[in-house]
Amino acid sequence: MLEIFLIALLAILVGTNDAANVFGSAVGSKMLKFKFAIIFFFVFIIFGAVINAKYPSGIYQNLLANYPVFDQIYLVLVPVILITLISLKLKIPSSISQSIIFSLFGFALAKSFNFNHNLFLKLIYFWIVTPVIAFILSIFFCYLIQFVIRIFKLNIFQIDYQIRLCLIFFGCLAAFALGSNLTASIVGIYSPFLNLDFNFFNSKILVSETKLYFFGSFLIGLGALMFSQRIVQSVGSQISTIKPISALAILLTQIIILLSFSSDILIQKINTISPFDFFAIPLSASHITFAGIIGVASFNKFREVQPSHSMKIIISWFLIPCSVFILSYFISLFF
Amino acid sequence: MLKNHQKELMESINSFLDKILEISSLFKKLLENYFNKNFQEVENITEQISNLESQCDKIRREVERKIYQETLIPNMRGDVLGMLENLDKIPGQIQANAHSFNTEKPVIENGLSQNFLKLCEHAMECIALLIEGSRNFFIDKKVTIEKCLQVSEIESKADKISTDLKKNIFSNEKNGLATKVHLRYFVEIMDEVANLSEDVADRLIISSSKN
Repeated sequence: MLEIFLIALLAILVGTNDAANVFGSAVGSKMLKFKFAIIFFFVFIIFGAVINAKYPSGIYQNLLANYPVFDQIYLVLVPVILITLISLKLKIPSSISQSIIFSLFGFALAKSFNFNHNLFLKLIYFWIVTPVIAFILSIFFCYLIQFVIRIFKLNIFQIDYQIRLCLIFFGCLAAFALGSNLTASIVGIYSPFLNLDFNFFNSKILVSETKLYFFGSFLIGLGALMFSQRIVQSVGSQISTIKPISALAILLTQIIILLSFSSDILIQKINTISPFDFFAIPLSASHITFAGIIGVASFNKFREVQPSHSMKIIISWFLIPCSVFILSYFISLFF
Repeated sequence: MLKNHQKELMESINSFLDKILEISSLFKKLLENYFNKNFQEVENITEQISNLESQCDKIRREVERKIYQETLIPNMRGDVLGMLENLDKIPGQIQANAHSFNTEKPVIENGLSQNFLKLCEHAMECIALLIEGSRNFFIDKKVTIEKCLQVSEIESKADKISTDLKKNIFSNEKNGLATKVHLRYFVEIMDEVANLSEDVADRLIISSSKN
């Protein structure tokens, strides 16, 4: 039961942390009300998880040749939960998938297990590259949206209506894409042990892979519903002021990047034309969102950026994985 | 949340702007009738202006309520609200002017009446430019800025005429001080329409540049 409790706790934390990544810009720009945004988030995160989560989940078992035995997985999850709680307290969005992988690294080092360094380096490469891509893409989308508006000569009410519709549609799509990524982050660590059998008060519970993804994504939605309101509403003001067009550009950026790294069909299509080998990995939606916000802020010459908070977030991108790694290493040494 | 309000809102705003233009042209008709001493017609036009002004108020309130109730155009609603409220001051001022002419019936000599009409025409021109700028505020902000800058130019011409009028009024030895002050008051309230148009145009330039 400890495993289920840890998954549940992590899922609620993820929901609190990551709802802001999908609808934060739309709610922050006052284009969507929080309650509507969360309903869409809840529904589509479950769809995304059930349909796509198995693809990025596989990454965890490929990282370790000697995957931790089932009873030891808590050693990987506890440091992640502790560090995520601290970062949430400091109102800094963190990447759960990144934390889990660094925790696995710490665990593998402490237990002298073989760790797939090649894959690990590839992951680090993608974690560095994706925010850069997000930064560039968000600027491109800002230009594109403004160009389309200029061509069609829409009045401000038409623009408002079209952007609102797009924010809902693409927000649902982003929740779908994020559903697979986030659920893969929290449930994927157990992927080698799917299907799980639990004894709960003398009754046997069979948890299949799909059930586990549903359970994880449902709790992510629940976490978003119960605890994310303040974080979602503050996204529009903490890093930079977000206007409706910027919100749409950020959302489009997220969808393109998240779907490119989670949808199996899309990855196969990309690999036929790309010189690089793409594969399904759990990406950091928080990093992509932040880079997107900074991208659209650069479109406005950084006039509305809050530099102190932005610097705090950038520093956390290095501090959080290092802290998780160190914590996981020492916990795994002693237990 | 998903209902498209753009058509009804744009229709309401256009009807609000049309009514301001109508009030402005009615006031010119009122002045012409006043100088022809057709006071019954002046009273009728004053009533028409009052009705149109009330309709403007009603439309403005409905538009403002809808924008806030449906949380539309979140980053621009303050500017649109400010624009509508400032524009609404113009029909209010014209209505007050019409009532003043209708009730106080100032004695205006034939020599001054042409300048009074010119002042009214310049104010009308300011309003027409402002309305064109306001319509474009929803579509093309460059045109708004262009039209609003033209308002300032016309307002300066109106100022010149009002200064000439005041000079003529106070240089006329035949009139007593009470008449002079009374006529000056009418010059000022007519010039106020052009001044108000310039104020609204200035605010619109800032809003257009900001967005």
